[in-house]
Amino acid sequence: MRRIWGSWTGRIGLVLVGGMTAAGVLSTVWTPYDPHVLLPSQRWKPISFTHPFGTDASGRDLFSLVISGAWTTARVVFLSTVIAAVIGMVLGILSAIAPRWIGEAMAHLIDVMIAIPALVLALVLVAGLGGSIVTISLAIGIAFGIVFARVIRVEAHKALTNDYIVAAHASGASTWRIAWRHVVPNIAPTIIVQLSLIAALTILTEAALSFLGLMPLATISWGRMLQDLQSTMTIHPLALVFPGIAVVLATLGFNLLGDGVREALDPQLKARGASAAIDPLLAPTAIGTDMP
Amino acid sequence: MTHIVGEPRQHHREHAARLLEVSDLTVRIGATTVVDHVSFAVDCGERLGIIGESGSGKTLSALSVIGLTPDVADVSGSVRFEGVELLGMPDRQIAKLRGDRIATVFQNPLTSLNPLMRVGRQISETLRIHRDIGRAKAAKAAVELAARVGLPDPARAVRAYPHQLSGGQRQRVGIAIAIAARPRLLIADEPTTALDVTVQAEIISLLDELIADEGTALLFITHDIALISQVARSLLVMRHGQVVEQGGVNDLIRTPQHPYTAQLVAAARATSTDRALP
Amino acid sequence: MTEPSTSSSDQPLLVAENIHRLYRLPRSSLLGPRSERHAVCGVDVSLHAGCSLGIVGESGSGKSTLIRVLLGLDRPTIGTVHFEGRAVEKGRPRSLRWFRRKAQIVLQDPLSSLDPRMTINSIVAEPLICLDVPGDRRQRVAEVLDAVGLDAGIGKRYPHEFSGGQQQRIAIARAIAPRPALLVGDEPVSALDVSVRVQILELLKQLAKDNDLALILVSHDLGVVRYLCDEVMVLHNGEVAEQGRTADVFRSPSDPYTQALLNAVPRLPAV
Repeated sequence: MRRIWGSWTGRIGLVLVGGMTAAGVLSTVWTPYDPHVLLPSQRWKPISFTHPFGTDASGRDLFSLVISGAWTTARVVFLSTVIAAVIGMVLGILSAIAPRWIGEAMAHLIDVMIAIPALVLALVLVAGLGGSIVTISLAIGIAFGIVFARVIRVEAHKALTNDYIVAAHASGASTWRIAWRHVVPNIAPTIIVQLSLIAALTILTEAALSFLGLMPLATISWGRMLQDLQSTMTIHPLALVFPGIAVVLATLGFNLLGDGVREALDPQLKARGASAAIDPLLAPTAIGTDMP
Repeated sequence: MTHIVGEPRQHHREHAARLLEVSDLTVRIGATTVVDHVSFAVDCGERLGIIGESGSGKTLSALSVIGLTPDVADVSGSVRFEGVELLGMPDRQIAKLRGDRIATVFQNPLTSLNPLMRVGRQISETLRIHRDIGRAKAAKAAVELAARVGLPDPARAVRAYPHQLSGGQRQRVGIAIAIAARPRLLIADEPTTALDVTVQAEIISLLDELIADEGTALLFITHDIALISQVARSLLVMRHGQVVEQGGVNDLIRTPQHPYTAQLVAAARATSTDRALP
Repeated sequence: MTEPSTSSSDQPLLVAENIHRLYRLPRSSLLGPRSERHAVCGVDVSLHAGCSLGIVGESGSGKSTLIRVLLGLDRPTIGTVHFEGRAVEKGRPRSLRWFRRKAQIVLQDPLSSLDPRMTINSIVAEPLICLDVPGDRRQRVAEVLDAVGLDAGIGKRYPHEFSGGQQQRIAIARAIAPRPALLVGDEPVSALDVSVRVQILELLKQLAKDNDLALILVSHDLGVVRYLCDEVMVLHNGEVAEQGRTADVFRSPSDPYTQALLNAVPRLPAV
């Protein structure tokens, strides 16, 4: 964590993500104004000390709406990322470690499923199960999880070619143990970086889905705000800016956090392999490497 | 002997200076001194071996001669080739020497050859860079060179891609590329380490023959002391970037002065296949 | 090396009969059969307890494939492998657990054979955990680290902190931890510096003697095999070119390939 703070990208990322989460959590207990209450008398108030972002067509305080939206975003991001992580890791590692047939079949299945976009999946799920944070997170999580699985499969495959996997087999390790104790820790950097990127994409996707109206009315989200404010865009353009920038900043925050994590992990690996970086020049390759 | 394209070389000593003179060569990467005040010299037609284990700095010393050290490396000292100082020379000028007057054969023929280019073209590329000859003539010379290095069916071999050849054959291609422009100095960095022992014997005898014919000087780098005793006449023993001992190969092996040399020789004898031993 | 212990029966420890391993290569043309590569052709192995066998071959000789078959890491196309009378077949890890307790392997590249994210203690203890070996694990780890000449205190460190020779010692410690009866070395010293090689070979020799281990050493390096093994088997293109007592084979090889191999090895000038 300290190392992530060390780099500028990590620092900004942490601030943005932290800020968003804090705002969201705060909104569960307190908002300047109740975002659900409609006060037509207060409509379209300009930016002021009492209304930092102004109000919307129904008199709702935009600032309260934005921080309430942050809570929705935070929940969706968390749920989606967890679902994507589980699906990705299970599918990815299983297909890499499974014997020939099964592994190849799974890989092809994954490739086919990647074609299904999150949007379509979301529409199907919402139609079937009704719109809610859970269904939307599920849709996003599954869609990204499958793409994630492909990346994980490649990394897991690479990790499995190492000699220490053969040694683990010779030590009697079960397939499960090899996957959990040998593969996962060694592909952890990739996993973490990918998940932070998925989180960033989730925010955008959620905003899009809410914009399309898939989020239930009672739930406040930035996407829905954009949808509401869009109709009066020409008259009150400034209002759109706030949820819009919120989306941008949140996405940016996760992206930068991912970069920061990658940078933080890189030097750690570099320090370990510093001598290895010079050694390839100096060390002779293994003799008798199979040359046809 | 096939007459490869290029002016005939003069074999007698032209300069009072030696062919290659390395003095106080020091290479630093970051805080580590990888090559520490190394000095040696190679005369025309001479065969010098550099022996050392991993981390001894032997490869970097050789790469310094032709200016192929990594960017982060800090090189100081003096490297004089035919009387001309090479250290500090702009890369474009040294590039003219590489392949032409100083050629290199690397350890791993799989990675030192371009996998996307037919081997014949890679051989003729050297010629076209350093000699002003047309494509057809270079192609013909490539076939001659392929035959010279003992590739079976040379006309067909030149049309092959590296992955279609065996390890030994790829190394022969590497040698063909190296000798194409008839260099004065050949630097061989562990050229047979990745090869089977029977293939190694063939490659070594090929090198032997080619060098003897042309009078090329040889700088041979390896970790195998038994091998170096068959290839080189003088030997440089390196350890942790420093020259630990140098002299005639047979003298050093029979009566090593430095304990490290003695250790290397003892280890080699322990795992030798000498039939005379019980 | 050691004489076979007097208590061992006449039955060999490891018996492999008529091992063939064919690989079907990927299709090069749509019609017609897929070509096959005959990696191992009809090899028999018979090893008694406490004895040492060297398998020598160049690349493509089939030695790596043979070893994988012998250790149940690969399935032979034809042929059987028996250890102490029981069949050894590639299958689910649990089915071969009894075999893994008795037969262990040391691999060529010391760094890549140790999981970079595990501590030395975890690495060496892994076979003890997976194979359910009874006894105090911590003590056994300390014991074997000591036996390979390393300080037990290194347990908390990571593989990359050690030199190649030390890493290989750690790999050897891991291999002997479950007290196997057979130790297989797949080019165990090829990736090491020359001066370190002899140390590791000596270590293997000593361990085999102290623990009554049977040893199979696979190598392309004849000198290494000569140092460590009583018997030698020379493989060429998947077949046994010659086999017998090391001293005999090296002094007067009867097979032309063996002769060529011995002649090709560079020799030091005589003292």
